Amino acid sequence: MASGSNSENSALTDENAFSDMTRHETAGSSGFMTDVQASIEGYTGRYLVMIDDDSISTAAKSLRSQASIKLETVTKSDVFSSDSKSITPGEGFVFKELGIAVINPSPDQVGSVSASVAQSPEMQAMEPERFVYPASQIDISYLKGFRDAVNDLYDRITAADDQTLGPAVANAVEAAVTWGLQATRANSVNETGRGVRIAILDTGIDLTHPDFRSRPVPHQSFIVNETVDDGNGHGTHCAGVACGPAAPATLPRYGVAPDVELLVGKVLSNAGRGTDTSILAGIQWALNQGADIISMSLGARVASNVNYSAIFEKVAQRAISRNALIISAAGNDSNRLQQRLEAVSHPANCPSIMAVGAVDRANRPGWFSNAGLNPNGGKVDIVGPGVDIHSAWPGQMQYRRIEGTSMATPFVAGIAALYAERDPNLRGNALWAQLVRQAMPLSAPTRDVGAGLVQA
Amino acid sequence: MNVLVNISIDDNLDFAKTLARVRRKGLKVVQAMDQIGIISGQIDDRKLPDLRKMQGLDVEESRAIEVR
Repeated sequence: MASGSNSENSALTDENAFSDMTRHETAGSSGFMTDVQASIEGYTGRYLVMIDDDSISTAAKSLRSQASIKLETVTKSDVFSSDSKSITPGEGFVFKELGIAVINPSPDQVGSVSASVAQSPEMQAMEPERFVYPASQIDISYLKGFRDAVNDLYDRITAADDQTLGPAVANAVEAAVTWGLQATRANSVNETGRGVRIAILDTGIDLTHPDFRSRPVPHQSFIVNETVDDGNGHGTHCAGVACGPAAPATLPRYGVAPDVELLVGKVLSNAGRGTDTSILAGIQWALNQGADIISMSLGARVASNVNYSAIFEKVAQRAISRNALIISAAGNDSNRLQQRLEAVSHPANCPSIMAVGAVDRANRPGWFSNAGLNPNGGKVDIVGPGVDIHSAWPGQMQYRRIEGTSMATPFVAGIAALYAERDPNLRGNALWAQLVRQAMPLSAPTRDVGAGLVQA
Repeated sequence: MNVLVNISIDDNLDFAKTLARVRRKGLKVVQAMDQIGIISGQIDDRKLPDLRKMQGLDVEESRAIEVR
C-alpha cells in the first residue's frame, strides 16, 4: 500500500490539489469550485484517515511520531466557516465529531503515513480525498440516469402508496371475487343493498341469464320496437356490476350490492344508441318506481367550453329533491396513451349528476377516461374500477371482461346502495357527500380522479 | 324539417297550462313528464325560435346518446 500510494501520490500532488478545505467540503452545495481544480483526475492529493472514536489523541501521536504529520483538532463550525484556512503540507485536521482526519502529506511523507495507518490499530483506513463536483460539471448522462432512477423510485413508491391506502389489488387473484370488489372493499362489508332500489338505464338486461332469471326485475323499454331484452350486452354487464348475485352461477363474484332491488330501463337500443328524450323518459320512470339511485353508463361527447345541459341539470336537481341520486359515466373519449384528454361527457357534466371516471388495478386513470377540463361544470367527481371488468353477459358467453367509465359507474351506484342501506338518511345530496367523503384519495390529479376511488 | 326537442319547465309554472302553450306553438308532444317537469316533442325547425322565446322554459334539441 505504501509504495503504491507513493507513486500515485506523486501524480496527484499538483499545486492545484492544495486547495482550500472549505471549498471542497461545500462545493457540492455552493458550486464555486474552479474548473482547474475539477480537472485533477478527481483527487485533491490529500488523504482521509478513519480513526476510532476514543483513540484520536493516540492516532495523532502515531502520525506525528511516525510520519511527522502535525494534526490540529477542529470542529465542524471551524471547517465550514468562510475564513477556514487551507492545509499546508505536512499538516492535517481531525474532525473529532466524525473521527476523521484530513491530512496533507508532502510526497515524501505519504509512505510513512500509510505505514503508520497500517500499523496503528486505532486508525482503520486511509483513502485519497476526492474532489466534490458542482452539479454543472457532472456528465449530463449521469444526471439523466439519476433522474430516471428517481422517477422509477417515485413510481414505485406512489404505486405502493396507492395500494397501501386500499387493498393491494394490482396482482389480485380473482378466483372468488373480482379485483374491482376487492379494490372498493365491496366484498368486505356486511351491507348488500337490501331495501335500496337501483335503476340501471342502459341497453336492457338478459332476463334469462342464470344470475338474474330467478330475480324479480321490474323493467320498461323506451326504445321503439325493442323489448327490454338486451341485444347488446352492455346493460347486462352494468346491471351485473351494480347488483350481480353474491353467489353467481360461475365464480368469481362480481356484483357490488347483490340484494338491491334492481330496476331496468332500456333507454339505449340494441345498437347501443338512444336520445336525450329516451333517457329523460327512463329517468322519470325510475323515479316513479321509487329508485334511490339511477345509474347511467351512457353519454354524448362534449366539446371544450360547452355548457352543460340546463334540462338535465334541472332533472337531476329534481331527482335529488326526491331523494334520488343520478350517477353517470364521465366518458371514454380520451386517449391518454397519446396524451389526449377530452372533457367529461353529457349528461355527467351537469353539476348535480355525479360523474364517474375509471381507474385500473394500479389506481391509474383508465387510458380512455375523460377529465374535468371544462370550467363550467364537467368535473370528475369520483372514480371506480373500469379496466378489465368481469361481469354478466347475455347469451352463451354468460360472462365477459370489458372496460370503460360505463363499468366504473355501476360500481359507484352499487356502493351508494350499500351506504343507503346502512343509513336510511343517506339519500340524494347526503349520499353524494358520503361517497365523496369516503373515497380513497389517489395520487393522480383531481382533474382525472376527483375525490378518489369509491370505497364501500 | 321536424326536430326532436326536450323542454324543461320552471317549477313556478303550471305544467298543464305550459303543455297547452307549447302545443299552440306547434309542438307535437311525444311525452309529457310532469314528475320531472319535462316535455319532449317534435316541432318544425322554423317554429323553434318562437318556442325558445317562451319565458320559463329551457329548450334543447335532443342529442344522440351512446353507451360509454
